[in-house]
This record gives sequence, C-alpha cells and structure tokens, in this order.
Amino acid sequence: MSSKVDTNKFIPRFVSHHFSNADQEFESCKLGMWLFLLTEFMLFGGIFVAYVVFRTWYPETFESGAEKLDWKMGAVNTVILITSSVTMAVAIREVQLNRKGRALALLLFTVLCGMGFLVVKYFEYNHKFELGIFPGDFFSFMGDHMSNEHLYFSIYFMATATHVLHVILGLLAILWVSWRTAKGEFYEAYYTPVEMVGLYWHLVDLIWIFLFPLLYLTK
Amino acid sequence: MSTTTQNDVNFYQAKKGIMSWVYTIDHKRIGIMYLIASSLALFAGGAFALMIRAQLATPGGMLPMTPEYKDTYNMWFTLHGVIMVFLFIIPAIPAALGNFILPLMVGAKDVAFPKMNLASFYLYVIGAAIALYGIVGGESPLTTGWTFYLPYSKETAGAVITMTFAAFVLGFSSIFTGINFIVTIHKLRAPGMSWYKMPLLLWALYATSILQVLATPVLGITLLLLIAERTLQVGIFDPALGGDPVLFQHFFWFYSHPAVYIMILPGMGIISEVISCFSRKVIFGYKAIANSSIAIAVISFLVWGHHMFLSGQSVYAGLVFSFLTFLVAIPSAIKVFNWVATLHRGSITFETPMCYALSFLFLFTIGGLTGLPLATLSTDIVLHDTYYVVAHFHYVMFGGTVIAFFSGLHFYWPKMVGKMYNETVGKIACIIVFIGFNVTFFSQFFLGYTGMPRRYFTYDSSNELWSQMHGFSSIGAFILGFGVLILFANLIASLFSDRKAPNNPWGATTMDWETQSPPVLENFSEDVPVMKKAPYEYE
Amino acid sequence: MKLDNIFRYSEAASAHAKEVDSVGSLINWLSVVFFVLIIGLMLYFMIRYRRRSENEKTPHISHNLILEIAWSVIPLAIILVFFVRGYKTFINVMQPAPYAQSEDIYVTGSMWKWDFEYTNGGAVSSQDSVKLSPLKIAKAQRKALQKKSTPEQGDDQKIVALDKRITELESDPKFNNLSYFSKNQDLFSKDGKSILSPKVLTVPINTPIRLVVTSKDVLHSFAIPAMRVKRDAVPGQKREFMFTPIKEGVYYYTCNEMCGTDHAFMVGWMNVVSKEEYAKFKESIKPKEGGTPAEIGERLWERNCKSCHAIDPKAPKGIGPNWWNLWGSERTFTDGTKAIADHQYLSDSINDPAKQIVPGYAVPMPAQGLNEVQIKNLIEFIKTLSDKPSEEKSEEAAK
Repeated sequence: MSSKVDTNKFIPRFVSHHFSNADQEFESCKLGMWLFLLTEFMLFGGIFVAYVVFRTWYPETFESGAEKLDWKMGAVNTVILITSSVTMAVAIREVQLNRKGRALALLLFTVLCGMGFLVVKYFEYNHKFELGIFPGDFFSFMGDHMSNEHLYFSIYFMATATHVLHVILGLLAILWVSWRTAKGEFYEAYYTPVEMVGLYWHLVDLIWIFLFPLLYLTK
Repeated sequence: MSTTTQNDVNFYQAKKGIMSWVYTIDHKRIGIMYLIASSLALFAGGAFALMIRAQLATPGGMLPMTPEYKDTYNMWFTLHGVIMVFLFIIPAIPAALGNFILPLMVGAKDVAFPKMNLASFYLYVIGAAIALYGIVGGESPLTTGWTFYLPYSKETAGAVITMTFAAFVLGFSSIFTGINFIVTIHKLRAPGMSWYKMPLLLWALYATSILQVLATPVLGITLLLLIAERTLQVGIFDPALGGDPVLFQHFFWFYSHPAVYIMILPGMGIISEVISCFSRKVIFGYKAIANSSIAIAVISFLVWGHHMFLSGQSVYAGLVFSFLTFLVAIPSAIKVFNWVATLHRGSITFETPMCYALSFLFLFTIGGLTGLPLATLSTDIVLHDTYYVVAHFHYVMFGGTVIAFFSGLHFYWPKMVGKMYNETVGKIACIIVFIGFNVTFFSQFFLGYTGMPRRYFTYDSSNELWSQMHGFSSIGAFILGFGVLILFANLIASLFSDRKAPNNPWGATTMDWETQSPPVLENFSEDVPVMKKAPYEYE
Repeated sequence: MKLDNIFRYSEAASAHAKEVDSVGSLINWLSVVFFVLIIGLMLYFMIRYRRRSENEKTPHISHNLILEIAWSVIPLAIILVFFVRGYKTFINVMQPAPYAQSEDIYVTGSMWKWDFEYTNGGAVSSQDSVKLSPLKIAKAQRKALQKKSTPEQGDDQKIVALDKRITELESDPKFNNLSYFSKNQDLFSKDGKSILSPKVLTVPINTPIRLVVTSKDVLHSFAIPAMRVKRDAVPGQKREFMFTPIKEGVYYYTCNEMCGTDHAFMVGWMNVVSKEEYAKFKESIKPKEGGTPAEIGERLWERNCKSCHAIDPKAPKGIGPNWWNLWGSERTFTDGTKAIADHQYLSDSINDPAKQIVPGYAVPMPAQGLNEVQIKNLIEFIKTLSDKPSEEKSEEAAK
C-alpha cells in the first residue's frame, strides 16, 4: 500500500521512433483504439439490425424465444461483467499509481470474472443443446414454440457466440497485460497497453449490456 | 528546399536482404510490397476480363455450351469482380500509393502504427492466398458474382465459404490501413500543417479511411452470417427458413456502396495533386474540394438502397434512396468543376501523369453523367442489371479510379524508385489505354439501352446491334490490355535505366517532394520537419 | 441509326414507355450539354494555357464564391427535376393501386425457366408455346380462312393482310419465330441434359397487365425491355408491377439477376394480342381436368392439406384444425382475439399461418406457397364442407 516507487524496478521504455513525445504516442494509441472500438460497434451493429428487423416482423416469436432463455443466468452474467469492468478500471488506476501488486491482483480478478462468464455461458448453451434448441435448420425443440422460432435462436446464437469470441480475445489480452505488469513494464508514465485493453474490455461489457435485455427480457 | 543530398543512403539501401523486407515496418517498403501485390491482382483480374470479352466477341462464344463450360464463364466474371474489387481496386491507391506517400505528405517518419501496417499487408497476403486456394484448390467454380446474393450463394456448390472468408480477412487488412491513416493524419502532421493546409490527397485519404473503418465491419458481419448460413443453416437470409434474402442485399450494399467511394475518393485526391502541379497553379476551390470529400463520405452511407430499386424493397424506400443518390452526385460534380477551373489561366504541361489526369476528367465526367439515368427511378427500371450498369461503373471505376491510379503511379514513380521512366512511351501507353477503354465500354452503353442483361455468356445472334457492339467491346478490351502492358513495361524498364530522378521532378509544392528520391529511412533529414508554405503555392 | 434514336431505348410498346423514354432522353441530352461544356472548356484551357516558357507565372485564384454556389445549385435544381419525373412513373408501375382493374398473371421463376399462370388456373406448356409463335398463328389463321366452306365478304382482304404479315414476320429477324433460340439451337442440343424451351407469355393489348412475380428457388429478375418493366423475383415473396401494352407484336423477356448455370438462357418471348384473341387463348388453356372451383380445391386439399386437416366431422383431432363447418364460424385465437372465418381470414391464415393461432394447435403450418387462384379454389371447397344448407345445395335438393 505504499505509494513509494522504486523506479529502478521498471524497465525503461522509449517512445517509438516515429513519435516526437510520449504524449503524442499515447494520444495516437487512444484514438486508434477508439476507432477500432467503432469498427466493433459496426460489426455488432449488423447483428443488432438483423435483430430489430426480425423482431419487428415477428414480435411473438421473439417473446416466445426469450421465454426459453433463463433470465437469471443472464442477470448473473451481467453482474459478473459489470464487476469485471469495475475491477479493470481500478486496475488501470493502480497502474497509474505505480501499485504493481494491486494492479496485478485486480487484473487477474478480472480474468477470473471473464472465465466465470464463460462458464455460465457454457451451462446455458449446453442446456439449450440438450433441449434441441439449435440455430436455424438444426432447431429440433419439441415443446411449445412458434413455427419460425429457429430464427430467434439463430440471432441469439450468432450474437452471443460473436460476443463470447470477443470475451475470449479480451481475456487473452488481459492476460498479456497482466504478464507485462508482472514484469514491471508499466508505471505512471507508461501504461498505454493496460488502458487500451481496458477500453476493449469495457466495450465487451457494454455489448453484453445491450444483448442481455434485448435477448432475455423482451416481454 | 530540402537539405538532403542525393548521396544519402535511401531506404532500399539502408537494410539489405530478404528478411529486411519480411520484417520491415517501414511504410515505404510496405507500400512497395502492396504495389507489387495489387498490380499482380490487376493482371489476374485483367486476364479474366479478357477471357470474358473473348467469349462474348461472338454470340456463339468460344466455349462449348455444356454446363461445365457455362459455369466456367460464370466463374470468370465472378473472379474478375472479386479480384478487382477486393484485391486490386480497394488496396491499390490507399494501401499501395497512400502508404508510401501519406507519411511523406504529412511530414512524418512513418504511419502511426507501423506494426499494424505490416499486419495489414500480411492479412492482405493471407486473404489473397485464401482466394487463390478458392480458385485453384479443387472446389467447384464460384459462380455467384462478386455480390454473393442469397439464396443462390447458399445453394450453389461453389467455393463460396473460401471466397467470403478471403474477403473477410481482406476486410481486416482494409480496416487496419484505415485506422492507421486516420490516426496519422490526426496526430502526426508536421508543425504548421493545419487541417486546411493539408494537401487534398490527404483529405481524400482521410475520407476514404473513415469509410473503411465504418463500413468494412458491416461487410465482415454480413460475410460471417453468410458463412453461418451455409454451415449452420441459420436461416436469417434464407427464405426457405423464414429469413429474408433482401436483408442480405441491404447489409451487403451498406458496405459495398461506401466501398465504391473507398475506391474513387483516393483517385480524386491524386487528380487534385496532379492537375494543380502540372498547371503550376493553386488549386481552385480548395475548401470546396476538401469538404466535398467529407460530404461524399457521409452521404455515401445513406444511398445503398439505390442498388435495390427493383429488388423487393419498398418503393417508398426507393424514392428516398433515389433522392439521396442525386444529392451525392453534387459533391462529385463540384470537384470536376473545380479541377477544370484550376486549368484556367494555368501554365499547363502534358507529362504522363497529367495525360492520365486529363483522361480521368474526360472519363469520370462520362461515368458521373451516365449515373443519372440509374439514379432516376423510372429509367433505372429499364437499365438496371443491364450492360448499361456495367459500362457506367467501369467508366467510374476504371475510367476514374484506375486511370487516377495510373496517374498517381507515374506521378510518384520517381519518388518511389528514384528513376525516371520514358516519357514518350508513357504517353503512348496513355493514349492506347484511353482509346481501348472507350471502345470497350462506350459500346456497352448501347447494349444496355437495348436491354442486354448482365452476366450472360451468350446473346441473341439475330440482334445485329448486339453482335456489333459486343464485337467492338471485345476488340477494345484487347487494345486496353495491350496499353496496360506497355504502361507497366515502361515503368519496369525504367528500373534498369540510368535516368536518375531528381528530388522534385515536377516542381510540386507538397512536403513529400522535399525528401530525397527515393527517401531516406525515416523520410526527412530534419528530426521534426516543418511545413513552410501552404500546398499549391506556386511562385 | 437516327441521331434521336441513339439515346432512346429499344422499341417501346407500353403506355408508360413514352414517359420513361422522354425522361431518359432529357437526361441524356442535358448530359451531353454538360459534357460538351466541361470537356470543351478543358480542351480549350489545355490549348490556350499550355506552358509557353519555363518561367511562366500563374495568377493566384483560390476560389470564387459566386461561381461555386452557381455550379452547386444549378446541377442540384436540374437533378431535382429528374428525381420528380422519375419517381412518378416508378410508383405507377411498381406500386399499382391494389384494386385497379387489371388482367393478373402470376409469374414464377425457377432455375432456369419462367412459368405463367393465368387467373383461370390455366398455364401454357413449352409445347404449346412453340405453337404460339406469331408466324404460326398467322399461317394457321390464313389456312382457316382458305378452308372456309362459306366465304364471307372481306375474307379476301383479310387473307391479303395476313399474307403481308407473314412476309413481314419472315423477313424480320426479330419476329422470325424466336431467332434467339432457333439460331442457337445447336448450342442447346450439345447440352444433353437441359434443352431449354421457354414458355410464351400472352397478354391482351390496351389492358392493364399486373404481373405478380415470385421465385421457387433463388433470386431471378423478370424483365421485358420493350414494356419498360423489370422486377426481382424473390423466393417467398410476391412482388408486382403493372403495365399496359399498346402495340401488338412479339417482345422478348429476360432474367436479369444471376441465377446459376443457365442464367443466360432464362429468356423467352411475350405475345401482345388483341383482346378477342386473348379471350380465345385463355379459354384454350383452361385446365382440362377443370370442374368447378370447389372441385379443383378438393384436389388441392388431397395433395397439400389432407395430412393435417380433416374434413370429416367424426375425424379425430389432427395436427391442424378440422375444416368441417369451418366456413362462417367464429374463431378464437391464442391472443384472445376473435374473427369470423370468412374469405379474408382463410386466405390470411394460408398465407401467414403463424399470424393467428387457434388454441390447441401449437405448431403453425409451414408456408404452402399457394397462389391466389389456388387459395380461392381451396376456399370454395371449404365452403362446401358444412351441414348447413347452402344456397347451391338447396337448389339441387329442389331439383
């Protein structure tokens, strides 16, 4: 908890050859990251548009489909992700304050949360598959359902699977910065990668915050 | 003027060996590699184009009319489209010329993210390799056309997944270039270069990059959904499963219409540079040209539905899209007027880049004006999906973008390789390309007017007009192909000549010409180069 | 080729074609004016301001606001005219009033042919289509006139007119019995599997024709250039357009959306005939198995509906509701709403089965893809399934 920093512990780092100073580099990275997040938004935007179109056409189908999802599991996952976003944000703060140990602990806790999310998602998927709820033509659910309910689950699986893919990539990125944090590469004057990964993780979180009510809470 | 001397070690000599290219993060080397790769793609796509024209030279064609050979023809035009769009025309100006010139123009040592730049190139190579596998990998021929419309692309046996995955990977390559350019322009401009003192090519590349960043991900998700459609039968676009094939077209054109501006905007940027330079005169209406680039970028997101007037979208949607399409014509028209006005009272010379730029004005004006009947709803009923459309977009894409690419290639060639090409041969090639192009595509307007549909491997032999026009078009295509060969032969020959290029052979005023030809490793001899005067200030 | 014709489209034979062509011509001539202006100035500047000495100076003209506003606003005003003139015709063609008086024809595309079904349930086979070539029709008419046992006044003139038409048709390659196909015949025969024989579309002159276009498999696009119409055929969706042919003759139709191997052969021709000829034609294609609409409907039930819908009052509960006494009954749905089983309700629930569900029938019916005529016949059949005495039945009983 001491904020004393032994700067000698850190590997000195120079600004890349084509930037004139660290500020310029940091600002550039930040802008680049935001642009990348924008592309992610547009990517998910496609799925959201498909969702809106089909929901407008078949509102009952979407209600009936959403009833088959377990909103409690979705809610648990929402809480997990929001928590992880908070710990991620605090981790960045700790890096900025040169508290390496705390930062590392928080980063690893974030990873744990992400994994928890995946575990819950695994159980959810598994349950659906056991019931025969598959996307599209493979839909073989025998209970009460609307004739075109496979469309709802096509969108559900496409959206959540794409999101899960992003969670996994996010986790790998967090592990990478954790490792670099452990090596002591980040300190108050240089923490760009942690900040960028943090931004990415918030996006992953944010997309889930859209997906959860849209998919689980349609009624 | 530049403080560099001709004797400084240029970026080719700075590092040696094959690995210095493989691991390079130098934007100039990446630009050169992009140039080589996309030129190869141009030749591959061009070969398919010539085969198409050979088949259509006569109504009977040269292929026997068995199903396999019909599909062979269908594969030719599909691959012509896929290769030209995704492998040549999208990366050609931004990724090849832009990569080389943009950091020089803003006065930077490199783009903002050099490693990402290299990643972009490797993604391009991987995408190209996947596409190549889709062509020669033993899968049945891809015959969907480059638009991959469902449900045909779901039901056909062709290499749809391979090719869409290739396009998906290429999309990432395009996004990386876009992000890099935007950040570079925002953050790495030389001191003294305010937004409205940027050369117009930078404005054009900036607008292009915005489109790449915003539109390409939509293509990504569309292609992913198409792959999911074929593998998981998700049914979102498949009417047999309750989905909607028209939705796919909405998604596809939401990317692909901005994509045509990704293709043409950088070309417009090059024309602004070249015309001003060879008229030795300040560009007319600088702000109008700069702002119109941004206006095009914005409006182009709102006009995708004009590809679908007859496709089953609501007619009222068609109405709105028709109106917006007319609006997007205005900024393009403004640019053309400004370029012509720049010539007024100039001091004009006719080196090869200028010859191409003037050809561009001629051809792009035709391309733009022939777009009007397609934007008008009632006449589009007649012309939609006929050869008229083919002729129109080739006037814009080849007559516009590719000619601008040739112009830029000749303009920046001395800077890129440090050698001067043969001026006379360059001009002759330009004239042959100009004549060949017009013979090829002007005849197709008449085909379209009389109802000749696109993507037919044969046509009514009793229709004399069709036989004549297809004949003309085929002859023109080979003239055009010949011209392009001379063009490249001339450029390659210059590499072996001893005509060393001066630093600023054309007397241009932008910062890129202050560097040595070819530039040194980190471009400028000063650590922080300063922009001393606004672009286009000719004394 | 006359100068004026260069910018006109192919032969025009529909009521709205003139308007389309005139907009097209207007755009093209204005384009020529602008092109000549722009390129003319460019060429003039190129010559007038070519560099004469190496040290030439140029004036610093950065912009001219008035000029720039002028060349933004004037083109904008011009294209607004195009826009307004364009959309009016477009809406008339693509969005005809739903109850407009028209002759309806159902056009179905499939790989790689077009099928046409007329309102009386009749359709033309490929063999019939060959007989319907205008040349053959003219020759047959002439033969019939000659063979007449009691010649009437004016027959001679008719024969002369027909002879003239026959020579005309024979000499004009366009009318020469499907030159497209006859001349490419050898191309077809090499392909042993699919010798394509297109079906003819016959329509009456001076009558609004509503074509309802759909597809069985992939996207197609039905186009008749001379009529200035075209629309995509989307599987699972019905799209329509309307036009009025004003000139008798033969016009080719094409498929304009890439649909696979034989996309280029998905073409054929359309006959525009007199109203009388059309009436005769329609009579000739009336389904032979025919019978009353209810009888046609019953056969349809046997083919499409029997496995789920019973028609016997004693039958056990099936997958779908029993049809006995369905007509005119009150239906209650899962969402609590009610409706009387009338024509509208039945046709809606055939077209969109999931829209209103009767409790106890959880699995909505898959879409059947029946056309309007078939649905009408099916409803006629459902009307007969009742123990209530209908008017017809009571009439029969009276006999």
